[in-house]
Amino acid sequence: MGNGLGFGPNRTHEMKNRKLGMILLSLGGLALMASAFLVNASPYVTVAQAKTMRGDNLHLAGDLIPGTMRVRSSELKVEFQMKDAEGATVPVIYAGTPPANMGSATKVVAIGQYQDDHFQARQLLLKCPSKYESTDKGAEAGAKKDAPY
Amino acid sequence: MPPTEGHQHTAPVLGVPPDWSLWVGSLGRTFIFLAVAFFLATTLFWVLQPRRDRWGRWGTLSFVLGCTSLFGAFGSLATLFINQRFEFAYVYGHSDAATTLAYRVAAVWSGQQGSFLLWACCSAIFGLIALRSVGVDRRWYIVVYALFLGAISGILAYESPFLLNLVDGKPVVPPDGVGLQPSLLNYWVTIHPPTIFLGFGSLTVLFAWAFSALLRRDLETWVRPIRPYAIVCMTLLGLGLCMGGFWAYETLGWGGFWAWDPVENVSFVPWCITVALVHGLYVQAARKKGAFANAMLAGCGLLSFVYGTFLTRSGLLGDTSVHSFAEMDRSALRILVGVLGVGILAFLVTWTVRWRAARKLASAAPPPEKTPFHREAFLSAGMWLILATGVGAGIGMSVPLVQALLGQAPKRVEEHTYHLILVWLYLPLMVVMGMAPFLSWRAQGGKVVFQRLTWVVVSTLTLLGIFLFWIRLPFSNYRLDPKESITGPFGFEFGQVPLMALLVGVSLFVLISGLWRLLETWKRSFPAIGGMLTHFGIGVTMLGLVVSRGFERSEQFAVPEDRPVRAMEFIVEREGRTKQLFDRTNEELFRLTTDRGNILMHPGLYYIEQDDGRVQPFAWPHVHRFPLYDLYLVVGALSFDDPFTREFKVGEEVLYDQTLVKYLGMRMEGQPGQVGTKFIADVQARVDGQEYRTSAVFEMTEQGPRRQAVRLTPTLLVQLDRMDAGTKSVTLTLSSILAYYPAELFFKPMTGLVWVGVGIMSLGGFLAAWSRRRLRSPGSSSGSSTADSDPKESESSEGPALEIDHASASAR
Repeated sequence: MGNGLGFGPNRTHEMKNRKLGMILLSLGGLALMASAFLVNASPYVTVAQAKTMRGDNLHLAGDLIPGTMRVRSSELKVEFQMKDAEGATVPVIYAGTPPANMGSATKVVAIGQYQDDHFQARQLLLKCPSKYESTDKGAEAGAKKDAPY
Repeated sequence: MPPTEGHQHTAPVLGVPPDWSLWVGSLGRTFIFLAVAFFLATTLFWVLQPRRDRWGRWGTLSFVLGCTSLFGAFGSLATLFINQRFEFAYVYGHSDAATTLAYRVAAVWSGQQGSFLLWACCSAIFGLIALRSVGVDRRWYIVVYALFLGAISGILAYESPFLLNLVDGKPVVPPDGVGLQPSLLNYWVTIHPPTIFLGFGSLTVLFAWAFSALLRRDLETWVRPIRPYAIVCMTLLGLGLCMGGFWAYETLGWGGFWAWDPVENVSFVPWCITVALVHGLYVQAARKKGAFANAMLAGCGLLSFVYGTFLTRSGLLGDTSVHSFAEMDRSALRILVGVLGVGILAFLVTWTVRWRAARKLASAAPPPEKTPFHREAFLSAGMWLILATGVGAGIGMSVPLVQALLGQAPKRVEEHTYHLILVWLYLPLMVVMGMAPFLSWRAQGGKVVFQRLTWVVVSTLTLLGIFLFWIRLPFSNYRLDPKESITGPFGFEFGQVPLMALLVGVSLFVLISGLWRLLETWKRSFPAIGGMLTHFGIGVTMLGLVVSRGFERSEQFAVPEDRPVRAMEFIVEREGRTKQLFDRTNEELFRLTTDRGNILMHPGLYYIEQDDGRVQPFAWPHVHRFPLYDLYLVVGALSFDDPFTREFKVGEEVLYDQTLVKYLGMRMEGQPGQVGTKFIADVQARVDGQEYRTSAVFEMTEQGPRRQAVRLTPTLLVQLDRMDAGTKSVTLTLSSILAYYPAELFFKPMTGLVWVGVGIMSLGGFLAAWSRRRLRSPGSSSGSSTADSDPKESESSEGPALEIDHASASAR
């Protein structure tokens, strides 16, 4: 690389190219990473969208309709009705133990897929009203029940 | 102060606050306004200082007074908390009469206003400490610092923690406060926030100092004195992050240390930047290279944190995330956005102007090294990689903002997305991190380098081999399915076994390399071991994180009150509770039995009554630590199976709640259509080898039909709802009165390494900072000796000449 002395026009030209290369490389890396995050992020969907979309990682967001929750602890099953922003309702079946504060949840994100006549969730994210001011740490507590990596 | 008895019957009894507490509140408010005034005065004095020398002294005094005012405000708020003055809305909202003294102090920073105050105070502490070291950079350092603290004090003027509970314009004392958020009631709330906020506070030192260095066109002088601050900042942030992880692990019951939550990312990004800065300063001190890169890194740490604070406090994430973030007062938010905007703009413009000017002066660059195997190349590769990791986390947490700006539907970035993207940076980063300490500044041939690394590589591979063999042994409790594969970004598939082997391998490599160099350095000069101790600690921590997550196993199950269930390799049986369900210290007892013995686990569970009369459960896990693994059990709110209604034909059998229920037939007493007629359904049940029989009755009374649930088995009730006299089929409702405890059990191996590793890492960090401390400002030559293991690192703090990238070819 370069002439032995490290001076002269050749050298500066090469330096410029190297700098340009570095900049392009880092911009490329940045773009790649940003697109990886954006492409792999999971969109929140409505009931209508969930019915037409494939994949088992749909994030169905909406309100838990009060009084519709049925817990089947012995079968590790929770069923409830959910209403999305467009007003459409859908039964949700979650296979697992109900999250600790399931009973007081108002807003729910059910993660899973639409099957036959219901939304089959493998994970639930909940938002519960609390008499405590929702500080960031506090709000995380229990609101989260993440599947392991 | 005895609250005056009110005579209202509808409203709760409200007292009148004593004068002294109102006075303390006013004092606190005054301190905030004084801080703003003092910091503005500081700025003015120091900007005008060249005109009159003593204005500088006044400016410094004013800076000290401004910081003292912030401490005063903090003290006032703490006084109000300690004395439980519930007439103050913030105190009322974050504590109650039952809050103990330690938590009353911690409650100061448990809300938004208080955490801003803590941030301001921590910044002020470091601002004052570093004032002794900034030397020639004093003037602009103070100006920038005072502007920043002035703005934060301005935020506090709007986001005041000193607001009173007013009724008809008069302050009143409610009988009791709301209380501290239950999930905060943990000893970590007293330690973690101060630690991490000290870290955030020290970011301001780096920012203000870098800004001053740029303004003074001298990127040389500040390098040595700032190094201990950068190292302390990195260590405090790292320690704070890990403490947050421990807190989450011990109380929140997610089963993990780290979840790539926006709040976590806000602290992680500045840490990555500071790590890059610490290594960049090391290169600059030794090789006089990368001055502008370091100035940029020093500035970006604080800016990234302010950006993150904006993101989590603006409510932007509020609509897109299920996590709720308290929104800020609009005016306060405007100041924050102003700080962010002005900070970024001013810093970038200054940096660019100086950089362009310096480029014109650039002397010839040194010839490139013949091979890439020299310390500088590896350090800068490592810096790029850790920086890219930070940028990645920053992009991930910004996705909701980007989506909002693009006008697209909100999206959620899941935890595994972070893992699958950042793993491609983690692997090379750890390889570089393990190799760099073995390289000299002078370029070497690849062969020489690998000779030096032979024993490290051999030890790594041996240990990895032993580990891979160990996890195949049946009694090791590790499970890894060779057929499992993970789908990465853009649809790449890779096997779980090779991925885990790689992750464990690189972590081991860093661990061994760090330990190796540590022992080599120890022999030469003990104070210099800080850096390698940190590397070793990181290797240990990462090994713990990778193994505890990668080989984690978990199972969800429900434990009935009356009988044991199987979960993983255990039989789980409930053994009662320690207190009552409404007692905050209540723990539920479960015995886990295997053929090798049994243990008693006691996860916490209690209920809190909400204002609307509903109850809200709170749970925290129990972690049983074994030398090689943790068992982690979290239980949820008690639940009952919902009643089950179904039509039965004669002789039909149905399985419900592990009970086989059979409808045998129907009898009738009396005449159809008459009052007093009874329909009787005979039902049989079989459970656990026992057989039960009962009769459910449906009676026509004058008030209409009367149904009564009768006990079928000890835990099951049956009720006759409807019948068809023709077909004799009936509708029965079965309801269980058996309580279930929904539970999740985790097997998490090697978590102990995380705790030990974090300890080593922090110790190493503080040791490194201590050995590089320099109490006197540059110019006096009696600073501490160069503590680096490499004697070639030149010690030239003199020389105001502007140093730029590649400007010096003479460092060797």
